[in-house]
Amino acid sequence: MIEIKCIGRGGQGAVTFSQILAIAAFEQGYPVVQAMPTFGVERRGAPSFSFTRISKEQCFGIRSQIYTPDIVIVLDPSLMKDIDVIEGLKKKGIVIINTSQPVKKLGIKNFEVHTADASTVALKLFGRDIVNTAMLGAFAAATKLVSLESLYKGVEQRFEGKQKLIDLNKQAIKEVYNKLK
Amino acid sequence: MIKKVIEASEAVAIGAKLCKPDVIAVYPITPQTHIPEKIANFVYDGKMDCELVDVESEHSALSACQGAQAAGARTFTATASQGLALMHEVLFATSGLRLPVVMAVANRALSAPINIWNDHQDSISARDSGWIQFYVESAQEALDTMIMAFKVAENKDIMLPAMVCLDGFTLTHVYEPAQIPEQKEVDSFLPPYKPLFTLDPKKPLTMGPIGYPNSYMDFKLQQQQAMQKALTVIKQVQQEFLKRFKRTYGNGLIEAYKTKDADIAVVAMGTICSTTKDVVDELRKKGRKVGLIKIKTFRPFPEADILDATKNLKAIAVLDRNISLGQEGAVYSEIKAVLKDCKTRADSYIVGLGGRDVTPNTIKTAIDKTSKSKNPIKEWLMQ
Repeated sequence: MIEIKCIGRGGQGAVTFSQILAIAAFEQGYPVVQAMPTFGVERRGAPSFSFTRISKEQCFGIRSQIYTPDIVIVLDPSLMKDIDVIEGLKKKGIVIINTSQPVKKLGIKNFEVHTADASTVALKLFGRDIVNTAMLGAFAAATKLVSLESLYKGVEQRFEGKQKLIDLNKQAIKEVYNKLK
Repeated sequence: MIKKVIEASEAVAIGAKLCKPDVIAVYPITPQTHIPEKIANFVYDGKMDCELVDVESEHSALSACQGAQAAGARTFTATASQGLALMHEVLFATSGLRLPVVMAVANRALSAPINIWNDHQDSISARDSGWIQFYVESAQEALDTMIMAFKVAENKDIMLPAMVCLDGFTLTHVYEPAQIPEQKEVDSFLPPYKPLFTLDPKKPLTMGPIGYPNSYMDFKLQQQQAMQKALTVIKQVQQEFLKRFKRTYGNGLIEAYKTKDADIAVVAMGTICSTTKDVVDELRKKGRKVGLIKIKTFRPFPEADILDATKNLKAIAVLDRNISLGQEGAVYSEIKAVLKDCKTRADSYIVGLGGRDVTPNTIKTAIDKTSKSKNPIKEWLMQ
């Protein structure tokens, strides 16, 4: 079982990140996938968390929040000032952060850290700092757990009927993926 | 048959669509809202042929369903929490009139303090209203139970309304894989609704006249007898569903998971059961003889099945996601009564009220406490 925690700010699409990742992992052949949001009384800009579990082995799926993730995604670098983003991260855990800063400057020790400048891609494509799909590209490149094609299927299903949105999000995934791979 | 990753709320909406209700009356309330939203999409896109009625309250939603059902329609609605509380007086009328309305309940805590998150207080508070109550733990079970619920409710010997209860957020907002049955398969499993009596101006009759002291009690006895009969019909419908769709949820009433050689078992309802099954598997690898008894049908209460599943256990840890204030958890009260003549000890744990997370550790704590104790336990797990 691989447990993935996505941290963002309300409005950045952490919940959608987890949903698309679950669909993509299922397409990739993981029989057990689960995307679970946490819901506060949602406010734009407040920290928000969302979870994905994927497993190659059959299980029923724990239905609680993830406290000891294998992988943490940080959609907004300013979150690192507000909360401990690596709280509970397992040994040999992976952190993937949306930032233009070099890894060295982030001060995260003992974990595998990847960075992607997803905001630049998102601002260029969407005109807004919604980085969830761009960060899915970073996730695929850094972890190799899902392929670009599976992520595309995730986007196609999640945004069914909205062709322009599908195309733009695929583009966001691809651009970040290609920079990191 | 397609298998894809969908939100559990969508699974309920698809389940409703496959059952072809004639009338759906809805009023939005968190965390149920995704269900009617999805249904509204189906209707707007022409994928679902039904009369979707936007009403002004939950009281009206159920009243509209009741009226339509009395006129011969198959009906569906969905609600949660305060919405179900507002329906309360109508619940009894639906059941008393023997109208097999099916309703999804996205289980949520009741005010005050106001809270939008999951517990079972809302549907537990409606347990005496004469509705069949199913509690499900996955998107697949939610979808499948919708189909079975209509079939049970509309059975000529039953004719009682049914609730399909799923945990708010903890299940309603979860995306996971589910198989979507073919329409023609569902059509042959669930024939069109053909009531014995309908409100029809061409054949006038009165439905729901006053029941004087010389008849009221007879009506109640018949409802109770129908509930008792539902214990058999639910098992039969689950059997038939298994044959056709290759999926089963215990025997439809309870599911005993790895209890045969167990010393200790957890008893729970809803999504806690999925987490518990994984905990049971983990503990069994370490040699612990533990199991789970999932109560899928809470009304009618499957006394005989539970007695059969529990009589050889040393002790039971009942996890209640509700509290009958002034007494104890509602499931615990039932279990205690079932076990009154057995050696099996039942312990009571109140967990997960108002969305407090029920983690594998919560469940392990209950199992450990029950394993170690020699005396009955009544505790709130606040972790």
